[in-house]
Amino acid sequence: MATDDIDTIQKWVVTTCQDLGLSVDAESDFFRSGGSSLTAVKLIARAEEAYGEDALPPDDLFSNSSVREIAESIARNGQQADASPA
Amino acid sequence: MKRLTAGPRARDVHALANVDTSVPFPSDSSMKELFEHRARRNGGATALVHGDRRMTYAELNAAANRLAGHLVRQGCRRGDVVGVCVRRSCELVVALLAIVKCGAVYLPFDPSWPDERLHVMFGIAGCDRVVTDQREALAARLPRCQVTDVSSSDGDGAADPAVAVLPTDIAYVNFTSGSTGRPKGVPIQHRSVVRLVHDARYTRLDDRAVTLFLAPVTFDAATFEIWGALLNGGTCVVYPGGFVRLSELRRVVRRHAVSTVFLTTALFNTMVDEDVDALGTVDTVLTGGEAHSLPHVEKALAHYGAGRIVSVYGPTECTTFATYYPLTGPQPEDRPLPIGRPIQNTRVHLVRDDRLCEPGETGEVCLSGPGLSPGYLGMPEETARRFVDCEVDGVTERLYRTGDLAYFEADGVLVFQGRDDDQVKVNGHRIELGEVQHVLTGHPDVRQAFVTVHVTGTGERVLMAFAVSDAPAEALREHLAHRLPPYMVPAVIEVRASLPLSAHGKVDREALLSSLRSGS
Repeated sequence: MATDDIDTIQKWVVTTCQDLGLSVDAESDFFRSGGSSLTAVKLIARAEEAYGEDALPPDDLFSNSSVREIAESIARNGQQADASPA
Repeated sequence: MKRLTAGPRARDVHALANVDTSVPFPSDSSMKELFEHRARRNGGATALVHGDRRMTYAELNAAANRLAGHLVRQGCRRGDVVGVCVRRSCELVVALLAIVKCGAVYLPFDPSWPDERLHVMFGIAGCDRVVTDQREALAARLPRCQVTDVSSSDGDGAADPAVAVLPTDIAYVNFTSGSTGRPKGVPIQHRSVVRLVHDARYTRLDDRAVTLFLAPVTFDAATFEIWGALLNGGTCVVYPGGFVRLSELRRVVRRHAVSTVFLTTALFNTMVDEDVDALGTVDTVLTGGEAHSLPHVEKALAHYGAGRIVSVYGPTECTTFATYYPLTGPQPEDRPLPIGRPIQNTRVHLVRDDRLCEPGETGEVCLSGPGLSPGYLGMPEETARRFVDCEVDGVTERLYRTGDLAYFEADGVLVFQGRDDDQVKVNGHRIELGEVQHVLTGHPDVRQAFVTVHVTGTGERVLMAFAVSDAPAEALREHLAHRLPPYMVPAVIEVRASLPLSAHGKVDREALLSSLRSGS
């Protein structure tokens, strides 16, 4: 299970968004970079795969959608190794 | 009256396509009667599920009777139009049923739609009453409406409202984009909903059916999802959130043994890409709304097996579904996925130059049967243009001209071929590009505008606007957002000094989009 720090998570967000076809960097906003509600479905599915169930709640993504804020939400909500030992 | 001619090959293929589609259904019963009959006969059966909450038919019937009692006491009469804005919950369904029980008409709307849009819609529909779980917020936004809390109740709910509702009464109104800048209100009769869900051919709908209410209630797919269960004695599972998560979808369909799910084409593709097995336990996956991607369909077919994925097609004007095509095997690569044959009690004609098309010949899809709306609210000219009486083979048919193009295969299966105008589908939403363009050019600083669909790097279709304007893009976005629902506001708005024209003097869409790619 991931014990990633915020910077590692942020890199994961950037890489995943790029993989979904968005041109983003660490400063970008998900929706302003062309992310649609469908891209959001995909991003959330991938966040849950990497960081566990509810790692990225939709309400968080829709209200705070910068790459940094997305990483912060995952850091808050993702299952960290210290919370659920593997 | 227009008379449609037909050669022998055209006549044969139409007979083949429409064979046995007219079957007995309770065309003299209203939704009210059919639901109340279920509640009387099997009141202990589960009607609704939302999270940990369950409601039996008897409980749902009583709850709807109590709210209906309150509405009637407030003066709600048969034929009145009642707006509904309730978060996804059992109460949302209680509200719809209560309105139906009053013989009134429900008009679902989304609180994210701007005030001006709501004002226009309510004006067209003559709606001055709203049922909601957000009473204070809406009362401030809708000062001319009587705003009723969905938890209001009157009496013990034991007696059904003593209102005689006819099968030709209107059950609900959905609004759809209109090219002239005015949304079109589509009223749907009780019998049209009954026709959709009685003895359904596209999926099993009976007292063991478990449907998933997943679509926004403002989409007409919700008609199938809700009433497909409740008029047949089955169970309607209300998807918990407003936003679809694949992990949650997977969990919900397993936990509640959902038997049939409708996904828009875009969501279907997303599921296939990210978690093809999300609906692995479901009997039938219905999908439609846009042209299908064959690779996605093939991948789903390989996972789900023959007969479980069904392509469905239908405009709001013909009550949710008009045709269906169950995938039974691999599809030829050089042909779009067919939209298939008419569902029960629905007929399809392909028309070109006042005659019926032969196999292989492209024509306009014209639908008929008891699914047809009586016509657009307050728009007699648009109604006369789209809903036409024709004589076909000596029989008078009222046809709805969809504007969709298709051809018949020799076996009577329909293959979709696009539109004859600039109506588009984006993420399941039906949008007239002309309406967005009309609103955009209504901005005082916009001299010229062009709206189109752009396929993004993620492979998704988004709305895109180009404007020759003194105002910045953000001001134009605000202008649009004040007048149009969010799904009609273009994802990208580009301000340009001029728009490239083609040799015919029309805006050159390809040149615009390629200028975007080269970043100029």
